[in-house]
Amino acid sequence: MTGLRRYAVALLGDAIEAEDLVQECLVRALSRGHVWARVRDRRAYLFTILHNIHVDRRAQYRRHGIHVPIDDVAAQLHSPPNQHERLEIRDFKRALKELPENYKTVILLIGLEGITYRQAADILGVPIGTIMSRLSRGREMLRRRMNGGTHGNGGTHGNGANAEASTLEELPEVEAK
Amino acid sequence: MVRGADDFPVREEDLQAYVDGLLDVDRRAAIEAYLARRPQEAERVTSYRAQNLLLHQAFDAVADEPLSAPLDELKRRLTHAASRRHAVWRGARWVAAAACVAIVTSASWLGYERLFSSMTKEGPPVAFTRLAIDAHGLLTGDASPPLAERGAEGGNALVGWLSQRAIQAAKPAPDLKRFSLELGGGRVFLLGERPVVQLVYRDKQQQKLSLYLGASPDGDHQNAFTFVQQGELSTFYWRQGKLEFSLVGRMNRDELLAIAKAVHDQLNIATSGQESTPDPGKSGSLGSRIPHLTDEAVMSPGMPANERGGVTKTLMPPVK
Repeated sequence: MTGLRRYAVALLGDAIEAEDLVQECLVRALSRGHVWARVRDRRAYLFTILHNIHVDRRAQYRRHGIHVPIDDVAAQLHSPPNQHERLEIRDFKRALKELPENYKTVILLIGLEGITYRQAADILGVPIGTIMSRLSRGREMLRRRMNGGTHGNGGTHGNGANAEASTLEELPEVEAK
Repeated sequence: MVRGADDFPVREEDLQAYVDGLLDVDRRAAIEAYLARRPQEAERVTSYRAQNLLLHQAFDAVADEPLSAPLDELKRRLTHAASRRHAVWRGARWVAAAACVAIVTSASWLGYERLFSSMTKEGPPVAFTRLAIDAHGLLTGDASPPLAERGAEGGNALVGWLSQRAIQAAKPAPDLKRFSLELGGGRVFLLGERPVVQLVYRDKQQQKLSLYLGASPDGDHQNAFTFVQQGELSTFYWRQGKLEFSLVGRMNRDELLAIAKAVHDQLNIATSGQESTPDPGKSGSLGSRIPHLTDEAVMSPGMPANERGGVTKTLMPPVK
């Protein structure tokens, strides 16, 4: 359950939003007691509910035209930056925040919560090939942003960013083995 | 697609799985050989691994904060709801567990294992390590049920039970006091269809270390320690005779290896010189010797939510 909250905070970038999301998630799990009792992997189950609520909320924001990305609000509400927080971590959080959400969810579930590729596919309701390609692209975007975006430090060849970007686009949407 | 060391095709998803520590030994070695000759790719992969670590450094503090009152209350109710419903299933699970044991003993341990090892796509080390990591995650999360057996006595009972059926010699749980680790207890999991014992050790800071023991599906084997890092969790996997082990903890490779070696040495004396053919008369009564196989103790942490089914179905595959 702490993993759930950690994931929500990392996803939304805001502790208050995250608290609210996790609360609704647990309430929903509780309201489906008959399912809850039989679920084998409660952790994956809770992540699935959390994700569904999150998607619903995003859709609602869009429908009602309150188009305020939670991340922007979070930036204002966010607790003052910890002076002791390493610069690298601060940069990393910023890079993560700018990442498109489809990539962020996959990276967080797998990299932070140790969810398997298969479970991530189930939780997000997409094929495992999509998980793999999002993981690959997301990590690459993150890496570039951490490297400052314009200069890749992995040895630049010829036309640099453009070549890399097109390579990224060519990555196949792989299917499960 | 490019070719790796031994003409292995190395695909992007292999590199990602390498980052997440999901490859078996051979595959991992192939990827490492591949990366050794491609500094740019190696740099990329190293940076992805660093991302996983950074994620933990950035957000693990959240997990350590106390829950708010509403969350705490919800958690309490969910735990209660789960255990209340469990009572209904307890009877069914007991029957299923007993049936499972009966099948295992009558079909013979190894034959049974071979039958099911072909059903898993992952090799045994990977599957076992995944289970260990998943289970450890469950355990350290708040949603985990209480341990089935508390204290060193409970741990000894479980290890005794498993080692008795695997190597016909009841062994006590490894003693890790010289690492300042006290045995907190243990429980039984099912990996696929085979029981795996989880022992939990705690140090003075209440940091947890899990040791998993299972009966190895391929019979007698010795292999080197295999190290897997997933996020901050380190895992050592190894096989020893008919037993296989995974050690999972949030510590660095060297610390964990020292503990793995201690476990290996303590159980090594056990596995050598104790090889004997199974005694059917003896194993027939194994069911009664399962120490408190309660509903909390029987669970499959690795199973995705949408593949869950009735407990009975999972425990009783169509065995001929």
